[in-house]
Amino acid sequence: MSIVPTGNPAWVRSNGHTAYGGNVNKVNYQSIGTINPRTDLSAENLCRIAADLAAVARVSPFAVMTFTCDDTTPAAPTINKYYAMAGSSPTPTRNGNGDVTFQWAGSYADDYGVVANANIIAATATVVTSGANTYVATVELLDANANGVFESVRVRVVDQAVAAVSNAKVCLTIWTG
Amino acid sequence: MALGGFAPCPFPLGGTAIDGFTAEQHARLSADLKAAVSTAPFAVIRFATDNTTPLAYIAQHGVGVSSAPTLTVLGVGDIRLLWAASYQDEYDNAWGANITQAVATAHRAFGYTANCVAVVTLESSRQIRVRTRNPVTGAGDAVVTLAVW
Repeated sequence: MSIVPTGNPAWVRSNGHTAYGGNVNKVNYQSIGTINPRTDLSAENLCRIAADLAAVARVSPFAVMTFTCDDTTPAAPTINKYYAMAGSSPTPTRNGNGDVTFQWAGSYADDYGVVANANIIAATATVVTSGANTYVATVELLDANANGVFESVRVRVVDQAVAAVSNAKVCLTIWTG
Repeated sequence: MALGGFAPCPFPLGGTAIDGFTAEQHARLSADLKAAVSTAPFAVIRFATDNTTPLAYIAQHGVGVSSAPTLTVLGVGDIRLLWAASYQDEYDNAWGANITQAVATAHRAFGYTANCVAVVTLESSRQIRVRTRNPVTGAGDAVVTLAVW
């Protein structure tokens, strides 16, 4: 691999528009704009791409997943769907009924081999189990390795009496930074 | 073909995968960027309902606590977040904050009430109220992640 991209991987949240080629003083060469919009990319085009990409890269989730607890067998939860900025799905662990932990690698490489920590700073969880019951999902950020990086999330699902809910299906979203 | 430094902006689309940027690649970049812009949250914040200083903040307009909205504690498990009326991108283009959707989840954190529900109220286009309560014991302070669009 012969090139190292500017900036850091998106999940570090440090890239400004300049990492993507933007510059507040950027101009078209000799102030001559696009001659043919079908074949040319202008300074204005590039700066809009850079600013918009910087904006969405700051807030896009590191991972979005849906999982189903297996409290019948019992066994680790099944990850039904997983979308992430990098890497494969986290390691799932069952702690008890309606109580699971997912552990990510802590650092990942982007498509160009640039490695950066994936420090989890925020998470949301929503119970998507069908039925009339109202369940509550809470999250807990964990630093299992005690290295200052939150790489794990524990999710607990309870009912309105705060009793553990078995076999719940949950959508979990995490952000790093 | 693209000419690198010999083809400054506006630069021609074309060339190879090694030294160029083709019309097809630009089209894919444009479509994917538009798709991501359409669904990306405006901001994600983690905070405690008893503290006006956020624990973490990332947003389209900036990263870090200094960019965060103003937090006002209204009571136990009850806090209000107020974003600025408008924000600027890096090119000084200003746009108004217009929050239309939000989702919140309570964390389990040391020193805070466990098993809380986080309820979001959109009070205006830039103001959100979050209440946290345990279904059994009632209102209680909690750490919360809030994402807004």
